[in-house]
Amino acid sequence: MTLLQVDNLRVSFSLYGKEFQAVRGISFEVNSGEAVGIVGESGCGKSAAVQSILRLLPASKIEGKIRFEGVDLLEKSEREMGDIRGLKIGMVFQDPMASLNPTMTIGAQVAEGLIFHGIASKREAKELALQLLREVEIQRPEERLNQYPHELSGGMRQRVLIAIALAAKPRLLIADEPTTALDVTVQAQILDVLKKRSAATGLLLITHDLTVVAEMCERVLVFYAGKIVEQGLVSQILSQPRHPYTQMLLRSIPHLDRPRTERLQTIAGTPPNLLAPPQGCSFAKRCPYAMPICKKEPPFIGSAACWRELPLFMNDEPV
Amino acid sequence: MIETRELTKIYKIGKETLTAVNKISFALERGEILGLVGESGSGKSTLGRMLLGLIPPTSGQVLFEGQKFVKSLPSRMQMIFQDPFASLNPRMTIGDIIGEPLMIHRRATPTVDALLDLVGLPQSAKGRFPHEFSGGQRQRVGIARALALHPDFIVCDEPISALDVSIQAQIVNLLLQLQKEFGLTYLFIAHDLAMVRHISTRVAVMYQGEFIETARVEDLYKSPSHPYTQLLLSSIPRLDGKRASMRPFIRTPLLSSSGGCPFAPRCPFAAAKCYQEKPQSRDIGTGHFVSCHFAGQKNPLSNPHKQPEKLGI
Repeated sequence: MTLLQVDNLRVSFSLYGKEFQAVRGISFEVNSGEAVGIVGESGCGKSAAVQSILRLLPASKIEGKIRFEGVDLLEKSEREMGDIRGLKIGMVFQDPMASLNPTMTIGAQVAEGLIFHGIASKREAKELALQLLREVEIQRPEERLNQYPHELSGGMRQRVLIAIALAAKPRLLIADEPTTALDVTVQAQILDVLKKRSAATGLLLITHDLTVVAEMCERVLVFYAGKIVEQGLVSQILSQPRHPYTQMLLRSIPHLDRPRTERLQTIAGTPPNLLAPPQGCSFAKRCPYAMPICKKEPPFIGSAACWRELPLFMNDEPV
Repeated sequence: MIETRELTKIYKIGKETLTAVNKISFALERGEILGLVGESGSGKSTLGRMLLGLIPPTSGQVLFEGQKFVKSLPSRMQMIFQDPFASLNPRMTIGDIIGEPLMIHRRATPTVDALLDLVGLPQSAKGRFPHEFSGGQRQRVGIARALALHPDFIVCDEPISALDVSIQAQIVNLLLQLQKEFGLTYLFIAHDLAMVRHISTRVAVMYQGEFIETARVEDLYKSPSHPYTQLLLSSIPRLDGKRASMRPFIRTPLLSSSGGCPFAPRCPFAAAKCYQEKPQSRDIGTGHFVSCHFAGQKNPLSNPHKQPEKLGI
């Protein structure tokens, strides 16, 4: 069943009197029980895209359709969104220090959503909070309830954020770089908890780490300069990437399960300026296979958005 | 080239003390790249800074070419910092930032122009300010500044952690190319174990201020012998989606290991001996040093879920 369907989503901000086009027409879907990964480098629009799903970007212009369980979220009032955030769609943010309230106890923060959404009374909420902390495998949860965020380690705080996001048993969980700030051993534990706890919900996981996607997700969307340049099954895209950007990205990282290489592949240049995005393919300027048409016309949208996907251009010489 | 003898740093926090670096002795040959890995708080950066004399050690010595640290040495040892945003003065132009060490040490060569060329920055960068550059370009400025005085030894303190993956490759390639060209010696501090394998000739794994395993890069990744190294390597997600994480590991110590192995409380293979007697670093073959009572014996990993209780504790 399709849980979330995003159609031709565009997100832009006004910057220096110009329009900064953070997301430039993306379409994808998440089915219930499915884990979908979003990968891309900083500034590629991955965070802007998921934050606009929950309408967390007040100063932005959002166009397109975001259907959640068949209803367009962009047509909801702010009040109606309050019943969706946290209750139907949970979100785990990247920075565990900045997204917890330093003046509230852990217990109060986990219970807050439950009380706000009318799921539990104050007394019940405390009991539920304890149970949630247990579910995310926090040691000595009774003690933690009365502690403040600064008394907890980074990994522990990230577990609390996951507990909060899962409190109301949402249908969809969005996790924005949930392990980026953590050590590898802690990352492994957090990924395990996320995997276990999100098995029944849809999961949209943002990361810049392709190996995290390999472990967690069935499908992946590769973002570049506000567009999805390639999407499909993780097993296929990581072993046989079709878009030149995905190919180069995979070759630019050393892999522990592959032999050592002398030099890493680099991608020359930098991503385009989204205040004045290029006319053609956004990767054309850095692409070693670019043909004349790549700089003139945006490629058709397919599982890999690249002109070379068309048989007509497949054997053309790069210029 | 550079050598330490029982180098120790103890911080006083109120009435308590924290041993950030505990009696580390090692030697680096010219042209070597020692990768230093470990979790945050394991003492990696403190060690790197002590080598350069940026932090005075509590006890122990740093020897550079057999000599004790003297004032004239800084020009031969340099550092590349983690954060390319915080380590460049926002009010200085790129030309001034790179030229500053040359001015202080009254050197005429190399010129700023030559240094810009060396790290692949355009000449036009000279008159511009750090905020006009991307993270990768700023890190190139930091590298040019470090190279200005022709150092022999460079501490690279997480030089790529703040960069995007496609940019990381550019910087790592540049560092390796410069290393070859000038025969530099690096201490490469990082937490990305795949990148450390790519760049290093030797790797040291640090845990709570100590080197618990040191080996040539091939040996360490082929046969990690300390349970902590095994834990680190098995925690990394892999492209084939098959991570073989060892479990369970309890972060907070259940039993005090004072006097014993520092890793014992988290170690799934810990025996009674591990809590009582501190393992000494020993060579289990061709310069592969491990501080574990059971290293080199039959790999206990074959039974990864053995609980400490079952081992008689």
